[in-house]
Amino acid sequence: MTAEGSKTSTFADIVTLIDPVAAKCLPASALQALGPIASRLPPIPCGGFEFSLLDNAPIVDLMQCHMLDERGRQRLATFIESDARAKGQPWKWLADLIDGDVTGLHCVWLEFDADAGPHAPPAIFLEFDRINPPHSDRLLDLVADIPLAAKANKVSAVREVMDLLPGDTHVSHLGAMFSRPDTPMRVNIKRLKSHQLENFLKRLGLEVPSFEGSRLLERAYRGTICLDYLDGWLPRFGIEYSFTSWPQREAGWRELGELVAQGRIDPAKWQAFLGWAGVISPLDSLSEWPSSCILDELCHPGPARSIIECGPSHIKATFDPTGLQSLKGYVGFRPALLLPDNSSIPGDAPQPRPLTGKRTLDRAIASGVDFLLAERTQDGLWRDFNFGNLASDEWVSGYIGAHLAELRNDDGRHAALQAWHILRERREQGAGWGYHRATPPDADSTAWIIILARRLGLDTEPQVSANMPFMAQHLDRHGAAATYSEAVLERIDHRLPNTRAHRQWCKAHAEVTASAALAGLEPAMQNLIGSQGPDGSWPSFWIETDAYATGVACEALAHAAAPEAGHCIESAARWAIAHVDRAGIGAFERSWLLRIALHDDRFHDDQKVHEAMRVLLREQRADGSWDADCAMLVPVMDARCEREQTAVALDIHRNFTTATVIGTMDRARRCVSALQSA
Amino acid sequence: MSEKDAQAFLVRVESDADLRAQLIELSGALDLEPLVRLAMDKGYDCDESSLRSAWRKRRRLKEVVAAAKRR
Repeated sequence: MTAEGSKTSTFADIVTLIDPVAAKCLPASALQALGPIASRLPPIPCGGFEFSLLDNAPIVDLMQCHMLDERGRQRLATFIESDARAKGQPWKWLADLIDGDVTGLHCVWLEFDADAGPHAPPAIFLEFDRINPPHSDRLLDLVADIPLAAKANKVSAVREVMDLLPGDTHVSHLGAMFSRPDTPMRVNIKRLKSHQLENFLKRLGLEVPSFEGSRLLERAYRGTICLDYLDGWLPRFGIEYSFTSWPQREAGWRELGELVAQGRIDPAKWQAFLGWAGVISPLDSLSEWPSSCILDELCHPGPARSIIECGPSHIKATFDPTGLQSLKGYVGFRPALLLPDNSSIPGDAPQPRPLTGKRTLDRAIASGVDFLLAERTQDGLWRDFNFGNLASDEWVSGYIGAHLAELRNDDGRHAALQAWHILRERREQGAGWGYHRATPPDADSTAWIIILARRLGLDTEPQVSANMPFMAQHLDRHGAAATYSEAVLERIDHRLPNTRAHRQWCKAHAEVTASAALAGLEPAMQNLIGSQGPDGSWPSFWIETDAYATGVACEALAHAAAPEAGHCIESAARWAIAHVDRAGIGAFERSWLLRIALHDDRFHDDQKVHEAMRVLLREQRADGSWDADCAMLVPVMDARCEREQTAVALDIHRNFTTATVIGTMDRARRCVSALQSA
Repeated sequence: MSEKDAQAFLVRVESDADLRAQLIELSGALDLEPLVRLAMDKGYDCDESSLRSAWRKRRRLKEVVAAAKRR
């Protein structure tokens, strides 16, 4: 430990700083073994460890991440120049690389094998830019510059991979293991879909069963294929998989790990993996806080507190012809800034470029669509919320896809169509869809997926007509829809727990009736007409704001022939315009209120409408999204099953809110001429 | 070398956008020497040790304020 007042000078000091987390998870002997390596490296507080999840071997590998923005390049160059052991071909190549053109490169990872000793050169991984990865020629040039043994063969191998990659699949990392004279090469590939894996491996000549790997790609949030080349492709492949955005993680990866490891996961190692979570503050120890983090905090334009976040990153499963060869956990730490609302942003790293120039509806919608396209899972669905450690994929994909399907944006519509194709095949015909593939089917999720199909003009698809009776089974005699039907659940042998809280899941609620009506159930439409509140709204049950139930009800009633529907919409629009400028509302609620008001021509020139639109434009984040603002409220029982309580789940991926906002903006662009050039 | 000067410099950083813009040029530095130089250029007599100590005290204050707001 370094005492306050002396110099923090190496990566070993950072490792000491994160000791409150590390000591709980990694054996002291492993940390000690890494000491001589860490003490060579500069004090950049971004890195991680890798260890096996299958056995109790104490071997732990160490990684450090170097961003390739200007300051990151300078720091890495200074290290290479000053470290007496950073000599030889690999380091010279790296120094030349970062001194030259780094287009398409995001960062460099130095990975040290603990058993290779402190003098061995590391494996060096180039991580490419996620949005604009290098094109084929650039990538081949980069490979050609790496001091690899049998280089010509390796360049050809990368060319072979590039030629086989379908669609938006791309090489995300290139690695060279310099600790071995034959320098094995690693090629990582992102965005390969589950159904493409088998054919891809076959065409590379890899005779390795792909079934388990495909399952990982299909079920994880993201998956990366890892291939190794020596004097040919080694007969194995790895899948690195993760769940949700770092540092939040959902529990699904244990299930997937077990799926492929079949009882071989070491419980202590699993605990170590999950236990790698926490926030390190400068006040947690007397050790010096990294200078780069102090500067980061001081430079931030608003109030912010520098922290180091620790979290599990991903799991890597490697398969060879005999099955699972290894299962490794990767845990990491990185600098961050804690904001007053307790959210955090990455620190000491390039931030997304701020949105510049005049904000127009067109640009806002286009960047919102780009965000949503990038947020899709490996196979092309969306995930959001985190109820019970389980993110929704089916319901959320129906909702987001239905919003994208309405846009005049080809990429958005194409993504919506892809989502429909996946959902169409997910369950048996007429069996409905659910919150997630593992949860029982419900009327609301089914309704949104049918709305998606209808907005794509696919009304005649068999899965649409086959699911209308499923939805109808959730209506009561007044046409009001419940999320779950006890009769349906009993028939499919998937009963909910018999508690007060769960019984509410089977009661009729306005937003479910509204989505059923929008999906085309006429009795639900009639129910909406008769159930509007005196103030013009409908009450939401599952979502925090009544603007949601009211908004979906208006979307449905806009298609109704009955003249009363028009009166209902007018009344709702008056309610919405009265609330749209309320203080303290976020983007999700504001968007639905605005959308409701836009149903009534008389409000198209209302100042409140224009101001609300300006606020939405202003609130768009640099990455094209809007802050998570949709709170799902779920009645559940407490841990002792004695009292009913409400679990709150936010749309943590920001997909749900973002889709809602761009849907409203598109509607505004179409119906308010003054906003078309806004 | 005074911690009082270091404190005064940090307070000024928080309220002076121009000074923060100059700080951005220093971001990513792996020691506080450039920050010390900037403080000295602005007339604050401090060194790395006093700056660290002052920063830690301000940080502790921020934690207290944040905790009070949460309550």
